[in-house]
Amino acid sequence: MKKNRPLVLGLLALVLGGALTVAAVVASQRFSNVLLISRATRLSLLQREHGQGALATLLFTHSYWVILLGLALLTLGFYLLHRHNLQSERGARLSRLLLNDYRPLVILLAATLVFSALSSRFLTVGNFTNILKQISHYAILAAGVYFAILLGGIDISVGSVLAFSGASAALIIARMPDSPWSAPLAVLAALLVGLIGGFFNGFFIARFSLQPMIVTLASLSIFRGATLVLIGGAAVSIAGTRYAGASLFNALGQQTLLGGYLPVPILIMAAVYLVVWYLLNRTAFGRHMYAIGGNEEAALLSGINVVRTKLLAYTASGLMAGIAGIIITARVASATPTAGQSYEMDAIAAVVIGGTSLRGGEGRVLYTIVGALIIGMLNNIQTLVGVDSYYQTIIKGGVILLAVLLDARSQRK
Amino acid sequence: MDKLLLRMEGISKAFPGVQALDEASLNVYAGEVMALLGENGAGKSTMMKVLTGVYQKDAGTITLDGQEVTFHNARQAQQGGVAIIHQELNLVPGLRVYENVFLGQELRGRLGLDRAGMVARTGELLARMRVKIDPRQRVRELSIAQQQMVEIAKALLLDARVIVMDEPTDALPDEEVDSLFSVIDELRQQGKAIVYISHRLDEIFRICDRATVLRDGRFMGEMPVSQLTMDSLIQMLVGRPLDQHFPYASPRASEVALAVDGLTSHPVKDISFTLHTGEVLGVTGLVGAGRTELAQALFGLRPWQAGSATLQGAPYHPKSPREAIARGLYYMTEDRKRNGLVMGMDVRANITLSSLRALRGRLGLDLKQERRRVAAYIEDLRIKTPSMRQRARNLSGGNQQKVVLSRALMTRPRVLILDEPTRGIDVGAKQEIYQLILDLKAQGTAVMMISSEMQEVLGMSDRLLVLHEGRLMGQIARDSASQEKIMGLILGPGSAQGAGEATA
Ligand SMILES: Nc1ncnc2c1ncn2[C@@H]1O[C@H](COP(=O)(O)OP(=O)(O)OP(=O)(O)O)[C@@H](O)[C@H]1O
Ligand SMILES: [Mg+2]
Repeated sequence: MKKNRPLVLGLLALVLGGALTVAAVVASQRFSNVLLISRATRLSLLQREHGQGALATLLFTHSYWVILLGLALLTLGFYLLHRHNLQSERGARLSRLLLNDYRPLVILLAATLVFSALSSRFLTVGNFTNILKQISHYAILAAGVYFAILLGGIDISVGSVLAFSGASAALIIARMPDSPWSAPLAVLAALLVGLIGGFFNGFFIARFSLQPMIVTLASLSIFRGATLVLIGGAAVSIAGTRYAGASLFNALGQQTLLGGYLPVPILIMAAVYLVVWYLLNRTAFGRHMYAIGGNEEAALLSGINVVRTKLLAYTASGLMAGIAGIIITARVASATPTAGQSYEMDAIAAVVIGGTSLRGGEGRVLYTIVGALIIGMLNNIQTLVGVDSYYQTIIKGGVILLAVLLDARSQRK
Repeated sequence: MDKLLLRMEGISKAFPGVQALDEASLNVYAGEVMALLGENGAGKSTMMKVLTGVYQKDAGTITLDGQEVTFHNARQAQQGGVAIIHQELNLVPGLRVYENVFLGQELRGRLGLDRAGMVARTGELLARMRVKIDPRQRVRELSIAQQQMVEIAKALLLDARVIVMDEPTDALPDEEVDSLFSVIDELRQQGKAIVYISHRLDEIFRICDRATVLRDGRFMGEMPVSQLTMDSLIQMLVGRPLDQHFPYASPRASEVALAVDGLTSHPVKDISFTLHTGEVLGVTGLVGAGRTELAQALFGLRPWQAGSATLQGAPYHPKSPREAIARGLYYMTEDRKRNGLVMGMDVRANITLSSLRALRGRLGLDLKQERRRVAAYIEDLRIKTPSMRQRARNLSGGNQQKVVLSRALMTRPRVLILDEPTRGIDVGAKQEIYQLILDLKAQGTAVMMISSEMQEVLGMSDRLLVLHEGRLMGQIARDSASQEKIMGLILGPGSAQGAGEATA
């Protein structure tokens, strides 16, 4: 009986915590769709509504604290259940699975729950479509960065490569105002620029065994500079109907399909991940990448062409930057010299929150999209409840730190 | 003396899908060397990791000198007087001997570090073990055995009472084993309790006082070594009597698979030999004789400065392992941890890593076929693992070795170079591997086997190459091979017997 105490207490805490959270959310959302509003606003809202029960009033005026209490109880409940799990082998295995193997999914689920409690505008189809559209470009960058991190390296040049490829595309559209062929040409150019940028990185990293961090730091500078040389300090706008190729090109960032529910960027992102997943899990190339990231010497002795595999992986990362460059340029219908600046941070964060080991050799690419989604949701909810954008940056840094910490802890036995 | 120093009682430890230890126990007295024996995956290393706080036990008690203890990490264990000498040494190669010994607990003088004091104290410790190593030497200049002694000196500095050695002679050449054993003897004299793990059973009779046997994580028995014979020991280990003879069949008439002419690839100099299909060619020599380097040159890992070769009649000069494998030559590494396994990948991916080309299906890799073939290897080689999705790092040492071997076999090589194939493998599995080599031979594979174990090379080979300082000292046919003759060649031209040279 004593053995089951954590189980009983845990379930109790879960039920109580859940009830409190739901009650607070329901009560507060009768008046407002945002939970985090000041007490004064709450009281003035209450005065307009008459005939509320005493309990609902209490819950509403103190909903902030009630929800915190509820969430604390929920956390305690999960912790106690985890403790209970550790008593049996199967339970311990379940706990470990949830905390390590499925961690990104668990975080996604928890974040969805908490965020829906914070704002009634969060959990709607429209908002999620919006989030997915927001994350599409750096999720695509992240797929490329995933390759680099899987190999035990890193690619911090993706933001600059993105800018250069976007600028090339915009320039072609603008310089060929009369030809409708400018759109496909611009797409091709952007992809080609991405390939070249990635090949450049891969060549130095693979052929001369240089540090990926330093090589991509160099190309971060080189491609940002090249963008400035190409289009100068001002933006190249391709908005409107002045240019024959513009509307076709811009559709890649703005068009929606299926009656407005499926923006093209989301479709492109899904396609990219499908291909990448296939490469990683169903081809020799993917296995080779995992092997090189895990033990390069063993990979070499197994007959893997290490140099070629690395070269291809970094080139692919550049290609992803090219694709993301198209999407961003098309979405805002202009190319700016500062486009994509610091996007590498979001991409790396998505990979890390997605549970990929920074030591290389271990990870799942689909969790990278989960990681990107978590970051997107975090940005979204902060905007919804009105957190200052300066603070948002700080909070994002904290979340990245937390993810790395969790990764390091799960590596220990 | 006769004081019960370490008592481990009813120790259990489970990993997902594996009960690694099941109420196992171990008692070690002061001033004795206790052998901890068992097959691959029996739980020996796990038992010692539980003792030293690397893993936490699920059940059981550990008593040290009458006091119950639980260590939560290796550092606590060290301070509690338990030291473990791992097979992978934990020294910093660039630092000097005394710096390594005092790492983390440097003596301080008035002006920074007290170097003289540390050097003197290290010298004292080494003298107590009766070994001659200069405390000021850099660790990277030392042999493996000498490095182990530095580790032991480190343990002595911390006043360790229990010293655990997990397969210390695994990568040790015979001549260095002797010096390790005299140190162990010295430690025994000083009243230390020593736990000694090894798969080389002859060593048990040479150095150990008593033996504890584990099987499948359970305690099978404990007895004085003096009451054991090789046969009864094996019976206890494997659970059945085992034929200890090397299986052998003379090669059938065959053709040349690999012919090497004047190969020079630093440090290997001017080596010529032929290797036939269906033949086992043994390669032996001291450490540093260039055995592994010769194999690596043939595998495309080292540039050739001179010489040529033909493989199955066609010119052969590989620039990379990939090219060598494509031509049908495979080299199985001697160091599975460093360049054999990808520890984070599962057993399945490790086994098929060199053969993915053969698994190509219509839609990428044919995972079904992959599973089927991996399952066959797991069964054939009796790899002990809860599933083929288990990560390689979670397998016991011997089973990891079998995974590397499976990878080599799966490429169906025409020429297979095995570098210390039975390293860290238990007696039963050794026999299985010998049988496997015999099967390969019957199928017409040309096998080159590098081994430091004289008995093994003598027992398995049709012919022997003896190397000394990168040069080929001689080729000996099986009939005329004897331990004395080989030793003469191994030691080089300077030695008395070095003149005898026979060519097959
Ligand atoms: N970290 C781990 N995770 C999962 N299983 C493990 C882990 N460590 C050991 N095991 C399993 O526990 C069992 C005992 O392993 P252990 O390493 O103790 O064997 P051993 O007796 O040292 O064998 P060997 O002689 O081959 O070194 C094996 O089946 C092994 O696969
Ligand atoms: Mg072991």
